This record gives sequence, C-alpha cells and structure tokens, in this order.
Amino acid sequence: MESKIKLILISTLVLIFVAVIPAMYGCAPAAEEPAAEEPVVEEKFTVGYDIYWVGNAWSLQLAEEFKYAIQEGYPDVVEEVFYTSSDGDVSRNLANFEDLVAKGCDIIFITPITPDNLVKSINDAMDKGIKVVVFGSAIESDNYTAFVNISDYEWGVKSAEYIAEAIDGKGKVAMINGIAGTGAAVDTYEGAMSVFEQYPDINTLPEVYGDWDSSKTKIVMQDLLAAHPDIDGIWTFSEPGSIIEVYIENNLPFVPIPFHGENREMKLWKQYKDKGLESQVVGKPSTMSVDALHIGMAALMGEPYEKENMLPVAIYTYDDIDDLILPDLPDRIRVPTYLPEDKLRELFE
Amino acid sequence: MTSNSAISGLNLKKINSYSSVIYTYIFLIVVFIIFYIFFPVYRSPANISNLLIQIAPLAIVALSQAVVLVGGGVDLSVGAVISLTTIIAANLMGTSATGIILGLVLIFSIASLVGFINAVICNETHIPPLIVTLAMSYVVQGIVLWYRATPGGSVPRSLSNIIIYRFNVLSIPIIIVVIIYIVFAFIMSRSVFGLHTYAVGGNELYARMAGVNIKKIRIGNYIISTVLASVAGIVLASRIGSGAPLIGSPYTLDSLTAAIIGGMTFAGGEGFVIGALGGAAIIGMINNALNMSGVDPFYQYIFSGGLLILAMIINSFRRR
Repeated sequence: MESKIKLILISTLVLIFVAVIPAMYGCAPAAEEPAAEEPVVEEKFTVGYDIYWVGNAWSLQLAEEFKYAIQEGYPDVVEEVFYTSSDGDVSRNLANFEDLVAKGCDIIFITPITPDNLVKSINDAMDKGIKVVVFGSAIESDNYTAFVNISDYEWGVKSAEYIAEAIDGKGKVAMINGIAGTGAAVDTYEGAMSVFEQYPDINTLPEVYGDWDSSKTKIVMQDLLAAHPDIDGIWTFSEPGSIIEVYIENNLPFVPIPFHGENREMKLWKQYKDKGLESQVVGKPSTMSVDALHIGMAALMGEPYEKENMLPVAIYTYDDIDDLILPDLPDRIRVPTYLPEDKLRELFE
Repeated sequence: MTSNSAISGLNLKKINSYSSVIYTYIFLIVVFIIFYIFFPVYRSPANISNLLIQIAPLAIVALSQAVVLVGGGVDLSVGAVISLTTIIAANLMGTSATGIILGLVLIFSIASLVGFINAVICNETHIPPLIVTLAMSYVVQGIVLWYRATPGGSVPRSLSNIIIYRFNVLSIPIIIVVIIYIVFAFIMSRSVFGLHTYAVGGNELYARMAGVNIKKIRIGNYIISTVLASVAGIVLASRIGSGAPLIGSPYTLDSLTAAIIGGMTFAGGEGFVIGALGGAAIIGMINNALNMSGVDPFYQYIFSGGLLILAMIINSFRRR
C-alpha cells in the first residue's frame, strides 16, 4: 500500500517535471528576439563570451585579456557581459552558445571546440540578427560576423622550419603534441610534418602527447630522453618551459626547441643563453581575444571591419627578449600581454 | 533464503527506492521554482527549449548507468561509446535511407558488442566492473582516435533534421527521452528481467540461490547500457552535425552523478530508474540557470558542485 502511494507521488512529481513545467514555459510571454536584418539600435549592448577552456595559462589569459579590454575600452557602450565556461566540452560549448542567445546577447564571442559543433546554432543566431565573432579556432562555415584566428597549421610550419634550420636539416627530432583528438593538435602536427618531410635526413620520433600540462609534459620528455638520449631537436606544442626544466635538472646539453611565449621561457632563455639554450618564440598570442573584441565591437557599432582576420604567427628572436620578458612577474604569464601588472599578479601569483 | 523471501526483501528496497525518487524530484522542483522566480530570462520559451534539448543526451546516458547500477555494476565505457557513435554516424552512414539504416544497425551492433564483452569479462573473471569498463573505455576511445583523430565528417541531414526537430518548446530528443524512460520504468519495475536485475544487484548470492541466471542478467544490463549510450551519441551527433572523438568523455562521470543523485547506489539493488531523469535534469538545469543568471563561470563550478552535494546529502538522509 505504502509502495502504491509513493508510486502515485512519484508519477505526480515526474508529471510536473515533464509536462507542467514546459507548459508554464510555453505560456510565458515570449522573449523579445531581434528580427533578422534589423539594424542594432540600442545605445548599450549586451555581450556574451564563452571561455572555451581554463585548463592552462594560455586559455585563461585569453579570457582575461578580453575581460580587461572590454571593461577598460567599452564602458560606455556595454551594458553587461555574460561569461560562460565550456571547459573543453563540445556539448557544453554548444549549450553555452544557445544559452547566450537565449539570454538576449547582441554579440557573442565564441571559440568552437570542434569545427562543426556550432555551425547550426551560429546560423540560427545570425538569422536572429545577433553578431557572432568566431575566434581562436577553426570553423566549417563562413556564416559569421567576423573570424579571428592564427592558423595552427601555420604555427606547425613555422616552428618546424625553425628546428630544421637550427639542426642544419639533419638529426632526430622529438614530436610532443598537445591533447590527442583536438583539431589544434592535429593541424599543428600536420604543419610541422609538411616541413620535416622535405628533409630526408631528419628523423622524427613517433608523436607523443603532453596534454598542455606541465607535469605530463615533463614525464613524457623524461621517457623520451630515456629511450632516445641522442635527440637533436624538440618540436613541441606542449609546455616547452617544462621540457627545458628537464634538461636543466638532468644537466643535459640543450637542443633547439621553439618557445611559445611564456614568461618562464623568457627567463630561462635569458639565464641559459650563454650555456647554449637556443630558441625562437613561435607565438599564438593570447591577446588574440582583444583583436576579436575590437573587430566585434566595430561590427556592432556599424564601423568598418574585416570579416576574415587570419593573424600572422608571431615570431620573436632573442633580440626581442627585453621587450617580452617580465622579470619580476610570475612565470606562467604569456607575453606579450595588455594586462596591467597588478592584474597579472592577481591572476598568476 | 527462498525465492519468495528474496523477492519480499526486494519489495522493501523498492519502497526505499521510491522515496529517493521523491526526494530527487522535490529537490528538482524547488531548484526550478527558485530559478523561475529570481531569473526572468530563465522563463523564456527559447530557454526552456534549449534546456530540454540540452538535458536529453545526459538523461539517456544516465538511464543506461542507472540500469547497470541497479544490477550492481557500473559502466565507464559509455562516454567512449558515445564518441564512437558520433564518429560512425558522421563518417560511415550514407545519405540514402538504406545507408542510414545500415549505419544505425552498425552502431547498435557495435554498442551491443561492447556491452557484451564488458559483461562477459565481468562474469568470467570477477574483475570489478569499474576496472573492466574503464579498460574497455580506453580500448574504444583508442579505436575512435585511430579511426579519426579530429572532429569531422557529416551526419546525414535527413537524419539530423528529424532527430533535432523542434516544435514549440518540445523536440524529438525529449520525446525519445520520455518514451525510453516509460519503457524502462516498466521493464525495471514490472518485468522478470527488472526484478532479477534488482535481485542480482541487491545480493548476488541470494539471487543465485533463488534461481536467477546472473550471467544472463548482467549481459542484458551492459548491452542495454551501451545501446542507450549509442542512442545518446546519435542525438549528440545530430545536434552538432558531425562526429567528435572526445565528445563523450564528460558523459561518463556526469551520467554516474545523475544516476546517483536520482537514487541509485554503488551497492546496487536499489533505486528507481525514473530518478536518473531527475538527476540529469538537476545537473542540466543548474548549468543552464547559472548561465542565465550571469554568475561568473568560475563561481559556477563551486555553486554547481555545492548544489549537487546538497542533492546527494538529502538523498543520504533519506537512506538512514
């Protein structure tokens, strides 16, 4: 008897959830949705930004550069900024985008986690007159307001060209990538291999993954050195600073390695330059989000802007180090940066 | 213990299971009312439509996890099966009706095979299901990455248009969820298979003594789990229009959390599968509501985790 009563209660509660709640929503007044092709007339705008990942310093700084730039640069035209976080989850990336649309944002800045996952939703948002700025990652569509990125393939090419030249086109090169299965990791690797394949005397080791994680990259490097003590160069898309630390801890002679633009790398470079540490910064600056912001706001305010913005891979040599290095600030900061010193300390100390 | 006394023990557990579902749904409704009152945007039809469609894949996988948990197991391979499904749907299905049907047959066959292997290893080796299914997830994920390391391919438009079709605030995925839950609520509470699953999860020894074919039940549970995971994969693939080799990863733990919030336990033999829907809805609703409320995403993790802990504490009090 008790069982039956409880069963009836459950049925009622489930019914409330699956039937009554949607009905309540269905009866609620529809949210105002901007019509397609309608010019944006508000004086102040609502902005949405999805933080695609906070798993490493680069992705964290990408978001923080944006937050600071919009707060400082557009206080008079931005009503409110809504931030969501996808944490590298494809489904959440899509859900967050849809939530920002439902929230009534006038413009959404988004980094697609895969090239396809947002295409349909971005089409719908564009139909509703919402501006969409895609940045930091590729997308299989050209239906957006603006696109801002640095080619991962090109990053792979430039970093491999540096190594090939530094080792005179011959030798054994370790290949350490980011996270398996991500588009960026595949594109950079393909770009690098397109260069190394032109050098018959360069022998690339099988690709391994550092997961853009400092400790994992160190372990991977230690394993590689145990198996291949005669490595001549290291192509890495994951934590070069950690790799250099392995060389220092084991008192090994340095081999050419591309840096990514982390303050720790700059400090190590300056400290060990005389002891043979050779590198070149091949950068995908985290200030890219600020470029995306300015382009997006120009579009929103009816100012001229470029729709396609493939930024060049940033190359810095040792001659630039004094402009890049932040000697008294934390290691994990990406340089160059627009963030002020106190903000950098707050974030990274 | 005789078969009858084993069954009467099960009935007591069932009553307890009903209580857990009641607590889950009361919590869900309270959370909903709070968000409804305080965040006007949350009330918009556009948002409810998003919310329901966002919940659907997790609700389906949570059900698969619930069935296995009731049977005393756990399935950590569901995430990899979801990823595998999206890759097959986006790369091996033709655009013709025949191609789609063959693709679906292939997906369900492979999913069944994965579930079957999980169950056979658990049956024959007595290695804990946690380890078996974790190892299987590595195997399946490895195959997925070997076959296609990057997101891509294209789900046949005719299939995805049907799967993601929306009418007003409802959509096909929600209808799929409702139908699947009704079917499994019936199976688990009214059929011999369901009763035997509770018996195996509650006490394997007594179940064996009562004449339950444990191996058969376990094979059924794990096949159901992976097939349901593949259904969730089809919904996801249709949502994003392509395959993604890592898309399923977050669903492994989320589905487990949803099922536990919904009243299932690691001990097995307890819980009413309808609770998993409530668990999935709580997780989805919290994420959506926090986005709508404009809470800083970093605080969202804390808030979301706190609410989930609260939901589980309420459930644990109920068990005392």
